[in-house]
Amino acid sequence: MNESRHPIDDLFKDGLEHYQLEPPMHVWERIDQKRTPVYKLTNNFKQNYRWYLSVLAGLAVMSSAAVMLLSDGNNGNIPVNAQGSNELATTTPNTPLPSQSEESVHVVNPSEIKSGAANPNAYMETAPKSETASASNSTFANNPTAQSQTPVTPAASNTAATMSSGTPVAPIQATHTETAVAATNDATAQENTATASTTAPTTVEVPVTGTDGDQALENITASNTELPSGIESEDAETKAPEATSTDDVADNTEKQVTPPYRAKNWSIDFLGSYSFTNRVLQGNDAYAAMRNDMSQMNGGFSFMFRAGYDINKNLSVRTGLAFTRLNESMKFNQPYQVTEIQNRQVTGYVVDPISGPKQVTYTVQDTIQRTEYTEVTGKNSYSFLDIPVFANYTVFGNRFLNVYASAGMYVNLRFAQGGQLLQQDGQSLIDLETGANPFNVRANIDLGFGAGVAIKPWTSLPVEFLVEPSYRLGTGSLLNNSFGAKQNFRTLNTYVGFRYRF
Amino acid sequence: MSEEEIINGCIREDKASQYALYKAFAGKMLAVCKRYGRTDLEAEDILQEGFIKVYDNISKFRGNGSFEGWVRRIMVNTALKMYRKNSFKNEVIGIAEDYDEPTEAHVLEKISSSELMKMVHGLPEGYKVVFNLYAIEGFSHAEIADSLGVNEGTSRSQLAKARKWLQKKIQESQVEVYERK
Repeated sequence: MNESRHPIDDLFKDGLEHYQLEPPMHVWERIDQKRTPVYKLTNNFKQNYRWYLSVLAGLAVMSSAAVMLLSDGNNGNIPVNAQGSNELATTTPNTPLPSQSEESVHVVNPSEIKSGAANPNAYMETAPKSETASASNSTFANNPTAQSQTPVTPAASNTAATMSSGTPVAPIQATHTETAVAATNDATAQENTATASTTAPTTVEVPVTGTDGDQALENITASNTELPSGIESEDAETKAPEATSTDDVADNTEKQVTPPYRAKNWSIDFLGSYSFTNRVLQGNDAYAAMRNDMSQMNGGFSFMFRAGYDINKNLSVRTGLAFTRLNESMKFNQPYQVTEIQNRQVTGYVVDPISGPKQVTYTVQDTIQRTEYTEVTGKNSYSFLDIPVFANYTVFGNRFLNVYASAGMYVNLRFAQGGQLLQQDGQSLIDLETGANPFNVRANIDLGFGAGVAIKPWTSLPVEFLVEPSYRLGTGSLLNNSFGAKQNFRTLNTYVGFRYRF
Repeated sequence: MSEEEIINGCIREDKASQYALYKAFAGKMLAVCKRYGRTDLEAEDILQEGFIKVYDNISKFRGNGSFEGWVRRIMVNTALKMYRKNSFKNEVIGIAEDYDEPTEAHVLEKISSSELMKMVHGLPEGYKVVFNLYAIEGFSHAEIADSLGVNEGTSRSQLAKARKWLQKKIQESQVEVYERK
C-alpha cells in the first residue's frame, strides 16, 4: 500500500498534462450539427423513447380501463344488435333503417304480430330460447326521445316477436305501431329486469314454440303498466292495462325513467405536501460523520397525481405519478493559506578598515504564512419521479368522513441530483450541475405507509378533500458511490389535496 | 477574443464564440481524450460529446477555478462514462500488490511527450484508465473506485501494474535510443 507519487507518475503528468494535438475540424462540424434544435429534439426523443413509451402505455391502459368501466355502466342504456354493436336498433315509423343494419334488425309490422305472419326465421337470431325481458319499456317505441334516454325496447320487442312465431296464447301487443326489433343481449335483459323489479314485478311464464320447433321458456317481467294484453298472469290482479296511444306511452315514459345506479368506484387525486426529511449515511463512517456535521437536510416538497379504484367498500388501490424534491444545505469553513510579507528595518554597522565602523540601515523581508478560514455554503437537491402503488383500507366511514390507512411502494422512474456536494476531504465542494458529477446514481423502490382522512363536505358533489400524512422509507442506497457512503432518506409528508370521483 | 468574452458568447449561443472555444481547447482536450479512448475514433467521440456538454452547461460555470480545468473535468467524466459503458471489468485481474523500485529520474527526463502519449495509449485498458486518473488527473484511489465501480484494492493493483508496464516500456525505449547511437 503506497499512495505516494512515483517518479513515473510525475514523468507522465509533466509530459502529458499540457500536451496537445491538432484539433480535428470534422469533429467541430459534427458538434455544430448535433447542436441544432431539430437534432436535439429528435435525439432527446431517441434517448428517452422507452420512458415516453412507458408513460404512454400507462396512460393508454388507464384510459382503456376507464372507458371499459364506463361502457359497462352504460350497457343498460344502449341496446345491442345481433352483431353486438352498440347501434341504436329502434326506429320510428316510416323511418328507413340504415342498410348496414338490415341484417341484424327486423322491422316488425303490427299486422305481422297479430296475424303471426312474420317470417319466423327472422327471430331465430333475435329471440333466445330463454330470456328475461322487460315488457314495460316497449312503450317507448314511438317516442324517439324516450328511446334515446331509456332505449330498452328490443327486449320487449323480442318478446313480441317470439310470441308471434307460434305461441298458442294470444299474441303480445308490444306496441301498436311499427317497432324495430333488435336482438338483446343478456346484459340488457338483466338491466331491464333490475329496473322493472323496483316496481313490484309479476312474472308470467309463457310457453313459446320457436321456429325450429323447440319449446322455449320466456320469463316476462312485467311492470305496472306493461303486461301485454292477451296474457293473463296467474294472479289476475297483476294484469296490466294495454298501452293504446302515443300519449299513454309518453306518460309511462316519464314515470318509469330511473337512471341505473352505479357506484363511483373510480377517482383521481391531486395532492401536494411539504416534506420533512431525515437522511441516514452509512458505509464511510468518516465521511458520513463529516457530511452530517457540515450539512443538513432542509424541507422539500412533493406533488402527486394518482388514480384510484375502489375494489370494495373498504379496499381501494391507487397509482399515478409523484414528484418529490429534497434539499440539502452545506456550510463549513474552508481553510486557505495566507502568505504575508513584512518589511523590517535593520540597523547595523559596516566596518570600513579605513574610515572605521559605519552605521547602515537596510530592509529585511519576513515571509509569514498562516491559515485562515472562509465560510463556504452550498446547496444540493435530490429529485425523484416515482410511481406510487398503494392500497388503502377504510377503517371508519360515514356520509361525510372516511378514515383510511395506506401502505405501498414508490417505484422510482427517475432520480436526479443537482447542486453541489461536499468533497471527500471536507474542505471543498464539487459542482454537480456542470455534468462533471463523478458519481453514479441508482434508484430504488421505497416503501410508504400512511393514513388519511377524506372529507366529503357536499354529499351531492363527487369531490372529497384529503389530508394524508405519509411516511416514506428508503429501502436502499440512493447514491451508491458517494465516496463509499450510502444514503437513505426517510421522508415525512402531509399531503393535502382533493379527490374527484367518477 | 478573451476567455471571458468567449464564455459570454457561448452563453448567448454565439456560433463564433463556440468555434473560438473549440479552437482554443480542442487540441488539449483531444490529447486528454486520446489517453482514455481505445481508438482515435473513440477519442473523437469523447471530444465531441464533451464539447456538447460544455456548450450545454457553460452558463453553469461559476468562475471558481480555471475554465480549462472545468472543461477538462467534463472531458474526463465523459470519457469515464463511455468507459463504463464499454466496461473493462473482464480485464480486471487480481488485487495483488506489485511495486517496483522507482526508475531513476535522469533516465525519465529524456522521453518526449509524444512518446509518453504512445506508451499511455498502449497500456491495457484497465491499467490505462486507473493510471490516467491517478497519475495525471490526481484522483485518489477512493475516487477512482467510486468512478469506475471497483474497489480500492483493484485500483491500487491496476496502478502498480500500469507503472510496471510503463517502466518496462521506458527501459525498452532507452535501450533502443542507446542502440541507435
